[in-house]
Amino acid sequence: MRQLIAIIVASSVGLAACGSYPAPTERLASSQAALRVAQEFNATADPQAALHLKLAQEQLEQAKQMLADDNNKRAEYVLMRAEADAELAEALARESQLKAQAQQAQDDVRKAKAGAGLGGGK
Amino acid sequence: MKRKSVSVVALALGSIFALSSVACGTTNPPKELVEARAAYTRAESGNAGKVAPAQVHVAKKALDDAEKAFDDQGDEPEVRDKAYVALRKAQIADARAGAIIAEQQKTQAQKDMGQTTQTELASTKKALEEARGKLQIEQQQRADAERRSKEALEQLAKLAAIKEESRGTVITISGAVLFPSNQSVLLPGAISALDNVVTTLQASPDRDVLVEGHTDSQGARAYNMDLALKRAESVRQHFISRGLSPERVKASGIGPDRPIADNKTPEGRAQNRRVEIVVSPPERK
Repeated sequence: MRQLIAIIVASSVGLAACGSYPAPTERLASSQAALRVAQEFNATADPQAALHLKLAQEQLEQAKQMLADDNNKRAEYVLMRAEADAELAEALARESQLKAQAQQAQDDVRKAKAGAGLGGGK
Repeated sequence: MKRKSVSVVALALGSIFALSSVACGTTNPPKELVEARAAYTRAESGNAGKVAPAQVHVAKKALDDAEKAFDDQGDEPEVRDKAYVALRKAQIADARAGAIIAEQQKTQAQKDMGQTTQTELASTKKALEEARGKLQIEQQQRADAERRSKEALEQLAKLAAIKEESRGTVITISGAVLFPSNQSVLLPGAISALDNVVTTLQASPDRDVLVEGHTDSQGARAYNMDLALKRAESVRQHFISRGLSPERVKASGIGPDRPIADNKTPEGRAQNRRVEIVVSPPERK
């Protein structure tokens, strides 16, 4: 009987109680930082990047609301999502920028080669 | 007594397990996890696997984390959140790979640009040098021609009178210097005098030349006209043989018609027996 009670108590502790979850201050800081990085990288320029930036912002707001409601555990998870979206927004913006630069550089080479061909005939 | 307590414990354990773990892999995975799995496979087998392995590894860890959570808890919000993050990590890996490849292409294009510019520069330089070389040669040739012409003129001045008239530069050479008496074949000594004239004429290729044969008034007019013309022709032929263009040179027989001295004296008659080479002024176009 004593064994049974011990097992029940142990399992109950395993079923987490929301109120005792610590406030995700580090996660809040890192996701806000990730958002700032994405914004500085002008993530709005590329449509895909802009989408994920918006998702990050929305989820950050959602998390803040959950923190205000003392729902720390849900807040932490939503902040994780926000951080991931912000990181993706930055990566997409960077990719888009570099692709444009590569295209420009390749176009410049094509033009230069064409010009040289005409000029050589003189 | 012992048997009964064991079975009660077993029943209790069974129900507690039923309460604390919702599923043991029998529920369907949430769509976020399905998407995350697909995205990871895409990233791992695509460019990201080759050029951004570190980021792919991060994505794998996130996916494993989500899979474990799903195995432990089934379809719970946290599992979906972890799967969402795993999906994003895989997408980040693709984006990082895209950026790396674009940067490589940019660098390559910049290299190509450098090479193309260098090649263009080299061929432009070469063309410029060739043009410079040509110009130098032309300038040298012109300087040489002018120098030779000046020397020739100095030599010529010893044998001929050179006068500027309205009809052009008139080089007058005595008939005795050029021809034996009554003949129209050039004397050997005449060659060098005429060659000096040729050199002078070559320096100004755009100016036309008129060779005039003159005689004194002694003897039949018809004879004199004929001799004068033949002598002018001989000089013209010599000029052509030395390379002057035939269109440039004309021969004309004036005969006794334009004396420059008195035909009554021997000296005067000698002076009248002459060849005049008229170099026309440069044409005003």
